[in-house]
Amino acid sequence: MKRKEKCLSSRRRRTLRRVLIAAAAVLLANRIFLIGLLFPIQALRHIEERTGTGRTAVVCRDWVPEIYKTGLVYLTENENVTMLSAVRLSFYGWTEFYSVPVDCGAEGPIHGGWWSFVRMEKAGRFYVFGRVDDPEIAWLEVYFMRPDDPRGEERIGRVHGNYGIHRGDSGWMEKDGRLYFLFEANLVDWSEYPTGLRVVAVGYDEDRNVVARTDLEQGGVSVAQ
Amino acid sequence: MTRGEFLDRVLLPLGRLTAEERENVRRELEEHVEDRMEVMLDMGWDKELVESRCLEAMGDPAEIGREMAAQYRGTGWLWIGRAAVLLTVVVCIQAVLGVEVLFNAWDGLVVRTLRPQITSMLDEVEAEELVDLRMGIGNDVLRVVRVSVGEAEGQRVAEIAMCAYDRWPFGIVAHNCENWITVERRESEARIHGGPASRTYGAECWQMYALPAPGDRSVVLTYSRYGETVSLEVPLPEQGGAV
Repeated sequence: MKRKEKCLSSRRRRTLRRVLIAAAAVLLANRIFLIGLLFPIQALRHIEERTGTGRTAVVCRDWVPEIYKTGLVYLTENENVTMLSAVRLSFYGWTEFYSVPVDCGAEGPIHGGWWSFVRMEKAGRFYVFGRVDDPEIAWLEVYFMRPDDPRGEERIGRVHGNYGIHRGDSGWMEKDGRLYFLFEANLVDWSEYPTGLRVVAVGYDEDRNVVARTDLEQGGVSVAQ
Repeated sequence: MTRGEFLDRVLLPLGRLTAEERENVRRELEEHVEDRMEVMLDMGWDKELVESRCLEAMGDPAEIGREMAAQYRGTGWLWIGRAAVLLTVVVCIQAVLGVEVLFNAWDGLVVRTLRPQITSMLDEVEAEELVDLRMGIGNDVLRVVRVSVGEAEGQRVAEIAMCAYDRWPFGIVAHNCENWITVERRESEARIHGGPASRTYGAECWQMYALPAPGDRSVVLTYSRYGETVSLEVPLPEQGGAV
């Protein structure tokens, strides 16, 4: 029976061997071919490399089936960066498809950006995100300006719901002692958002006095079939 | 009991084995019986007698079957193994379909170790020097490979050809990092920004321009982004610098 124990490959031993081979193949594909990512956070690491932000930590994550069935949007941060990233699961594993990094290295009360995504000209999402560094700011409102707006300015909330946010609300998050915000809305009609979109964040104190007003310059529009 | 009957009885409690596992068990047992018989046949024994004695010596086939079954318990391991095989196959297909990604790694290797070819946009080259100056920017490395002075668009400019690559040989380089690089004379900010660039995930190469004044011996590249500011002084070629 000694020979049997030596030669017969038990189910467990064979499985371990197969798992080791699979792990080596995945590692090779991940590091050399940059594909076959098994987890969305790995795609986020690729985005960090491509944008040069360095390692960031996740503030929140949102599943966006309106964009892609497997689409995930991440708000991530580190001391100098706030970034909105989008990843999805494809045949090649988890892959990145968009990112808006915002440099928070310079002094400022509000740092932020925006991202608008439309798919098949039917469904889409609009995000405004950022970091609030001024402790006086207790209330934040986001406006966008359109070139064809006769007044030059319109509050997003009038079109797609409430874009005002107060400290303690769900869209106001804290991470590593810093305050972050994330507004999101479903796009109803893409034609309402021309390419010359300008997004402005206004910070108020508890008495509703304007404390800061910042143009959120970093942003982008994605359109996919 | 014949050898076939013996093996069938051993395999009876092994109903949950895959066809491959069952075949492995059968082959191993047969080899074991053959080994035992070989010794006795060499001693001149009758073949049928030898086989029956050997099978008797092996013991109760039902007991052997139960012992064998113990080695193949756990359908979880079976499914994990199958998943691992599936994953390996999928990853191999992905790698074959995405083989062009290897060019990214090649670009990174060339830019890191060799002297990449970056087209000069100067209409007339006054002086040129091949250099190898490197500085870390974020997770990447910026490498200046050539400095030229000459005429472009009617102006006397210094052209700095440079590349960026990731610190890890197969890593991803930051995209468009020249947007956060300024190239300046020590006492002037006048500059012409940008030139044609080549970009892959493995490496990016481009040219930047400065307007050197007579007497200038160097220009300074400054990378400033995400709270990091680093500078690199790039000497101008002798003939084109101090005029």
